[in-house]
Amino acid sequence: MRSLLAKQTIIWALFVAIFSICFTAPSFLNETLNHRLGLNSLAQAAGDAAALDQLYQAAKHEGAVVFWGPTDPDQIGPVVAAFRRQFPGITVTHFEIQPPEYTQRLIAEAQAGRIPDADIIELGPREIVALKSRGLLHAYSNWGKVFGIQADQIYGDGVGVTFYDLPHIVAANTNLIRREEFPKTWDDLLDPKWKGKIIIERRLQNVGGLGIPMGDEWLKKFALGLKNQQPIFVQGGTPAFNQLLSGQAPVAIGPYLHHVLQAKKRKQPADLIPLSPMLVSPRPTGVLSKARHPNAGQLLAGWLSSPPAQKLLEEASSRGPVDPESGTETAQILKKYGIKLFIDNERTATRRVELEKLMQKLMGIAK
Amino acid sequence: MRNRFRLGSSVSTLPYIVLFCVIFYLVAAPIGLLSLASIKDTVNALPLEPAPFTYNNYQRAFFNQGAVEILTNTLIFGIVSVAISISVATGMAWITQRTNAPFRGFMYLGMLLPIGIPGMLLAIAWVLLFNPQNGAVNIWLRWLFELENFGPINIYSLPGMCILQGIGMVPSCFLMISGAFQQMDPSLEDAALAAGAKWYQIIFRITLPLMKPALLATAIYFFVFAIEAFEIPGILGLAAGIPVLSSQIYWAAHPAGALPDYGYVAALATPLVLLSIVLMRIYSGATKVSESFATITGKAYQPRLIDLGRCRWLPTIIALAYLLLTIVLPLAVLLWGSFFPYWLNPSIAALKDISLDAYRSIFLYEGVQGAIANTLIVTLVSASVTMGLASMLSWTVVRTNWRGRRLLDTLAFLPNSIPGIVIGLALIFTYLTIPVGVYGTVWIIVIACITKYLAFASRTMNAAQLQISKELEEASSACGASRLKTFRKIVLPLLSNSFRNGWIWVAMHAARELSASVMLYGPGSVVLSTIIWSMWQNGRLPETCVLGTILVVTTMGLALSSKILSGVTKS
Repeated sequence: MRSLLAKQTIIWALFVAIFSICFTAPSFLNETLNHRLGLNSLAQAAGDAAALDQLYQAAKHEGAVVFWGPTDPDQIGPVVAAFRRQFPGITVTHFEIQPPEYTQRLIAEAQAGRIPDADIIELGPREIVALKSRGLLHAYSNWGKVFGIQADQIYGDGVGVTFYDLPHIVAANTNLIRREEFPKTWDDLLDPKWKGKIIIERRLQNVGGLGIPMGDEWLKKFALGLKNQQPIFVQGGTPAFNQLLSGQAPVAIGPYLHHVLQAKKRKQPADLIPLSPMLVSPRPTGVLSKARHPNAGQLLAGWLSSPPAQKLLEEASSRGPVDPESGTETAQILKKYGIKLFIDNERTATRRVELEKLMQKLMGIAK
Repeated sequence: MRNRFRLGSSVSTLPYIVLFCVIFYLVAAPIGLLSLASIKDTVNALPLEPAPFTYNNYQRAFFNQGAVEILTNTLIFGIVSVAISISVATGMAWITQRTNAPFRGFMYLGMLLPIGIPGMLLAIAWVLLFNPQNGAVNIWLRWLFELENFGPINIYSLPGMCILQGIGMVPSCFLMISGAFQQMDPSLEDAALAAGAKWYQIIFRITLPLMKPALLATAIYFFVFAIEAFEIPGILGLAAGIPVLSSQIYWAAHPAGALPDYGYVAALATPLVLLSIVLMRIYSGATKVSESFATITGKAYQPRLIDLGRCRWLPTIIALAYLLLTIVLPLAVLLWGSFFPYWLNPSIAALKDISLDAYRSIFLYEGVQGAIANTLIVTLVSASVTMGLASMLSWTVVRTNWRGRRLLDTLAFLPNSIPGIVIGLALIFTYLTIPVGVYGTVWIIVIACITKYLAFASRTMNAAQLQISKELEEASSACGASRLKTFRKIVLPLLSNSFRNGWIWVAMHAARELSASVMLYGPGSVVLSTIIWSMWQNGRLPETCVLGTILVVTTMGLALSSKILSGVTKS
């Protein structure tokens, strides 16, 4: 009796073991394969697979990474999930928070000697200026070596690498205006026919910085002319786009390109008015200097700069880099219209803020 | 005869000192940070970072060519909007609490509906209804009267701003005033009626003078509130090119650069703080002789409704029309907006695009369930603690002769004039310095809400406390009850209506509080208001409207529960 029970137990144990191996092996092999493929694809462009693997092992030892940024969780979700698949053993926690709030919080925490909760954050040129000057961002010199990232995709002397870009655009409500009626140049917006028909984002981030490529005198003239158009001021690029879609006016200066791309996917009546030059705000990611998980942070930042990650983000949110070699829809559209881009960086950020304030004063919305 | 308890030995002042320390602890950090920031150069620095001292902030704020225009607009905006809100709220409170007009319960609930909706959403709803280009109401009016393609109603104007701000404050004013109406002994009005006075004479010569503390408290609170509120001036005033103080504060706190200019924000906000102190002095002087406002005395009384006779349907019709135009319409806009991927003016043709996608996606949105739980904690704890503190504070201020009571009352009122972002930053610095495990948790948001809403709670409870005659407490004391027992068994039950109203108001405002919460929330302490804000920033208008609708339903639930509990007025 005992021996029969023992035999049955052994048979069941073998069955469970075989069953488990059959179900987990593919996933294990898949993960390992994905990991290998992930490393290979990241290291493809003159990157060093060995250095990358070394970084991955160090990151795996840390086991986790915390990522702060303003991107909608539904949009960043697929990107984070793909990272987890390609780099098993590292949990990723994303926390949605806007740049002004996290900038103040990180500075206050640093002043109090507290280790930040975040490891990697989405940055902009203004955040780079504020945080780098306080020594809160870690500068890496090996982005190119480890990930094959090109120099023009690296910001702040190594503190950030491109995740996506935000082209600041002029948008049209195609129920109210036909393509033939689109203004062809910035100065066309000063035509009296647009009086009372332009929505404009109050902070003027879409136009203030044009003073850098076009000159201060042009900006002053443009600001005064635009003031005479009695535009409808709105706070925020997204609210400006929402009011454009609601039909309050046919033209809006303030939305971003991804607003229009997503609207077109949903068959909403919006289109890009391709005016040149166009301001672009890069959105790199960077690792905090006192991050609890610096290796995992650098691995995630580098991965977010890779074509697979950028493609996933673009599928979810229509945001992508403007670099023509990235092959993103964003880059293709801008290339198609031959739009000259002025990409902001930490060296031009302060000047751009000054020009925006000047334009606000000239337009009477700041005293 | 003085109407205050005589204080004995120093031991008996201990509770007041403890209360003072609690209030001071809540208020000191924000006031301190405001004062310090106003005299520091914070263009690219936080207030507590090394930076030179300067008076330049005040110079930029008040000694420039636009300052007179800003201050003039602000005063007009504040005075007119408060006048509108108090007039309407008093009328509605009188109708629902003191008359036999039909459907009073329904009107009471209707008045409270908008309280839970974030001000920004309501402002957007007004824009969608009344903007002169394609507002839904304007389109309808143009069709009806064959008018030109602009207007006729233009809310992008100072009168438009005043009217909408006034209407927006009516529900809150109503809550503050209706509590006082609810506990009014009608015997004085009966006496006037018996003497042959007409109903309008009774209102203006008996009722309103007795309501003076409540009306004054409401006026003071909401004048500062109107001047500090951003949503209407920020959205309508921006489009209209009409700057006021609160919009200047908001722009400075939400700049194009990475860091707010706290020095400039503080300099702009300092007059509000000084104004609060002045208004509190006026209030103290006006309510010094508290016995003259006592309407709840030792004589038994039964709240009695005024019989309007054949005219009783008239106030109902007027009130319902008001509710339809000012409350139902904007809420309907939010509800409509929740069914479409982007805003479509209401029409039969638009119905083909109707969709429940936003309702489906909202509960799958990352963090929503946790946010609901956190919001419940913030709401319930903030409201209970705030009203508890306010009850003790009002009793100390009105009933005792403790020397620090006026200062205590003023301290409790001051946070009303401090921008939420300053309160948020002050709490960040406080709890980074005092490591009690509050930083990054939902409890820091609770503290922010208590600090912010103590002003409203204390005005509400002060007005209610003034209505209670001292003889009731003296009788309890004469029977041997301790001060604490008297407070628990006599005072609190008599204050219950105002307590309940104040609790609802604080609860719903805590649920929608954003300006401090957005600075303080962390990965484990996300609340609904920050999710609404994030969704708005990310262009998810339908989901934003869904959450706004949920807040309305919650407000309705709270108000209904309160009505059932109080059981004072039957429809």
